[in-house]
Amino acid sequence: MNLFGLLKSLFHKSTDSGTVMPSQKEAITVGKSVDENLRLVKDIIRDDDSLTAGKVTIRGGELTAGVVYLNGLVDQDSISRQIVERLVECPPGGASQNDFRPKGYLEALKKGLITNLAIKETFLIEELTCAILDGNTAVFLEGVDTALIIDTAEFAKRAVEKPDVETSLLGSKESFVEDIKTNKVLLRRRLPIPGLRFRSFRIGRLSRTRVYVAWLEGIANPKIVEEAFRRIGRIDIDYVYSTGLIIELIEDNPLSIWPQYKTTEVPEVAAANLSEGRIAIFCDGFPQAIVVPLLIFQELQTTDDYGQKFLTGSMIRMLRYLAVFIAMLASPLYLAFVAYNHTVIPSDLASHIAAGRKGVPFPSVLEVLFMTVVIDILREAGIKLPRALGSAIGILGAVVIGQAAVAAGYVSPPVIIIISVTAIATFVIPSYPLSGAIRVANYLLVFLAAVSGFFGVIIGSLFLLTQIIALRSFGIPLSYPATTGFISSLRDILVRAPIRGNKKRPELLAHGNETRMGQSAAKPDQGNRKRGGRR
Amino acid sequence: VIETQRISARQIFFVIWAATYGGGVYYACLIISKAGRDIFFSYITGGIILILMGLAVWHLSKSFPGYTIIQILEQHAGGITGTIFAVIYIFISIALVALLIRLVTGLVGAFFLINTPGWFPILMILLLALYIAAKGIEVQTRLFVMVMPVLVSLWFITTSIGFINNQFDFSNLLPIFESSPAQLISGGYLFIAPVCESILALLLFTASLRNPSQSRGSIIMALAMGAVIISMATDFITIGMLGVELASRVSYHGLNITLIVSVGEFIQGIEVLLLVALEVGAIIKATIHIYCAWMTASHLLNDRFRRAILAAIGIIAYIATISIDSFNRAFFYYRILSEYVVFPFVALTLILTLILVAAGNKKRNYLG
Repeated sequence: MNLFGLLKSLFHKSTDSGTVMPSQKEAITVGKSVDENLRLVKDIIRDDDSLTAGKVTIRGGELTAGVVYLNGLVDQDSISRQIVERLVECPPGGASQNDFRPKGYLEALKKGLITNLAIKETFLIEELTCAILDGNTAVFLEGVDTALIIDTAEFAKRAVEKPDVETSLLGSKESFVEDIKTNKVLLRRRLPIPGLRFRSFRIGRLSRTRVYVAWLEGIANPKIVEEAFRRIGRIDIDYVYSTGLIIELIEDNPLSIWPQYKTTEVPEVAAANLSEGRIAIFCDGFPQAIVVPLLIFQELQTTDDYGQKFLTGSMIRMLRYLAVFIAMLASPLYLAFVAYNHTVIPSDLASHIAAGRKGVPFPSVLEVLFMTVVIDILREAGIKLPRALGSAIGILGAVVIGQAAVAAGYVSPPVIIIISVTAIATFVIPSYPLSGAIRVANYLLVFLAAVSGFFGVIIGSLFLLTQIIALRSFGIPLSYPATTGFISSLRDILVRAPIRGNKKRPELLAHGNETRMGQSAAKPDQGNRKRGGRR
Repeated sequence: VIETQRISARQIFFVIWAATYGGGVYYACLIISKAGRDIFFSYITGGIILILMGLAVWHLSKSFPGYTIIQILEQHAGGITGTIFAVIYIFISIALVALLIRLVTGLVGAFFLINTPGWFPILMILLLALYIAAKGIEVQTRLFVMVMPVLVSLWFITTSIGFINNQFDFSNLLPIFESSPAQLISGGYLFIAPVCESILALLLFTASLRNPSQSRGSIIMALAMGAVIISMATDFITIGMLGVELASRVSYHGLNITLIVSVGEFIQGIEVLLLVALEVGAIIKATIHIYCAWMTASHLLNDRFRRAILAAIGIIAYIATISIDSFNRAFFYYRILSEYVVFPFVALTLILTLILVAAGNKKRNYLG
């Protein structure tokens, strides 16, 4: 074992499961014999028939090279053209005698014989095998104790398609895919400036999932960027099976029901957030970007708001706030007013509700809970089933079960109306994590309304509001900037402000570089008026 | 990453605003009974004194940034005096919490939760106040910023519906200039006694100001607007709706107004909306005083056992609250506490601290 291997064995991490991880092995180095190296690689990646390992004879047996790759993960054509053909066609014109000594030949390969610029040299078998498993091709040379790793990765991937969750009428129709490199390109196309930075991480002892942190240098707050590196760097887990796992391991308060991150599948949204000073985290294998820090009101904004006239956009945004109110409070308020605070209900309406409830054997709280649970089950069923079938099941299920429950006298018609409206309101909320949190909050408020009427609803609402206000996302208060006390900070929160009014980025996000719009972005008719005046 | 337990000048505005609405909401009938329709002059007189007290606190916090007024007093008057004032401060704060919660739960029990045992709403309000206080000063102030405008709007929107239905009678407000100066001064004192709870809170909250020297405008504005102008507007509506005779005899004006307000057959029962203002206002106010008591007690114990101290404050406040058996008794105790304890304590603390600080400065100048 060499010195590097010894140091590595002293500091490597152990696992609880007792499984031997590649990192736990001694650091084995590349030997001078091609046969020995190929045997080692075959031994490590054994029982995989897609492993292709072969030897190439150069200059009639003067030199021998070994080429190893995994079929299915590589572009075979590239390997043939860029590596094997180049090795066989040797020597190139103008090569000196030195170039045919093993070490010199390796240098020549790196400097241009192999027509692929993504070449790396390594002396560690572990690094080499990991690279092969990522779709790279390894090249050994007889008599040389290092190997070349050449990027030839190419595998089947989904094409860029329309977004599934964040559908938009007026916004971009492209969405992220599972391949992280494609996602990088999608982002880079929207922000083609050198300030767009990426830092790569590997997470997962088994999955070795590649994670990129993207940010705009000069705009994003360096403290937040550093904090993101620190939090991602400390993740130590065996397998990354969801972006939710990364989120939970890096967010400020994982036990809270409220989201402290934004996930987006639309490159346009990710780029817009980066331009405001946020950072985006991409995880290989998942078609979403995690955007942090989150400001909670941002979850009620969509790109469509800005694609419309500001009055139309504002009206739709206010409808969304109303939807949040209904989704969270409609059923608890109904319960409170029916069970405790009757005086609020006008007498005609009260008699209608009473007539509807006549013959229903259950108390109102059970009616509300029963229908809420049924709707939630239907919703989950709709997600799991194929798309066409899912929507049909959702609508038919709600209608059929609701009708049947009313006809059988188990549930009163007002409850069906209230719960249906609540369910529809949750679909208006553009953020799935926020919508989920509101559903949980709704259960809490229903319970409090059942226990103490409107009094309990107020207590519960204030408790939930305090929770949101107390939360931070990467150190930035979730409720920022609404809680600064300045009316101007509410400009683009309650309504969709005119674009010319949004000249600044949020101060805490883009610390020191808040100006996003030049002074020349004045009203368009000003220039015309001036010209008109001269005439 | 960005961890600063400091509040801005704008946020102290909302803290003062929130701290102003305590027992004073129930107390206005007493002021009306003293000053009659000339209550507005009492408010102006009391408001001037209140603003002077606010300026005194601002001056001290500017001179000793990062220190509470009790700590400044301790520095200049010695440890024993400081401890005595701190202990009184803690007990006043807890007593205010208990009385205020009893007042609001008394109303809740009478109008909204008739069959629910009294200990339950008390426990709910107290637990929530403890939860918010435990979250720290930043969370509290952010909450006040969001909630206070909504609460005040709710009060005015619900009570102003009376204008639509001609339930407001301008003749109730006339004639004015019929009270004697003694009555006006007496009314002014009755006004300042409960609202100086905001100064009581300010004695502690100014220590967390990010830029104390730039907060003068916010403090004056908050006291003038939160205490004086809004109180005047409230009583304008109250006297206009109820008449001075009725308004001087019932302690929960807003609720009485909303009970009589209706528009057609559909808009009725809007007292429920006022319940939001009363309930949330009480929780916020209880939070402020719990936090004041907690921080002062923690300082006395050198910042040890902080969670235990908070729990102890909660238990003491709960026992004190349920031991007050009715709304009327709470109202009586509240009056005694405001007039004879809170205002004299705040005034004495400020005067003593100002004198000691001035004497200290003089001595320092003399010694060179």
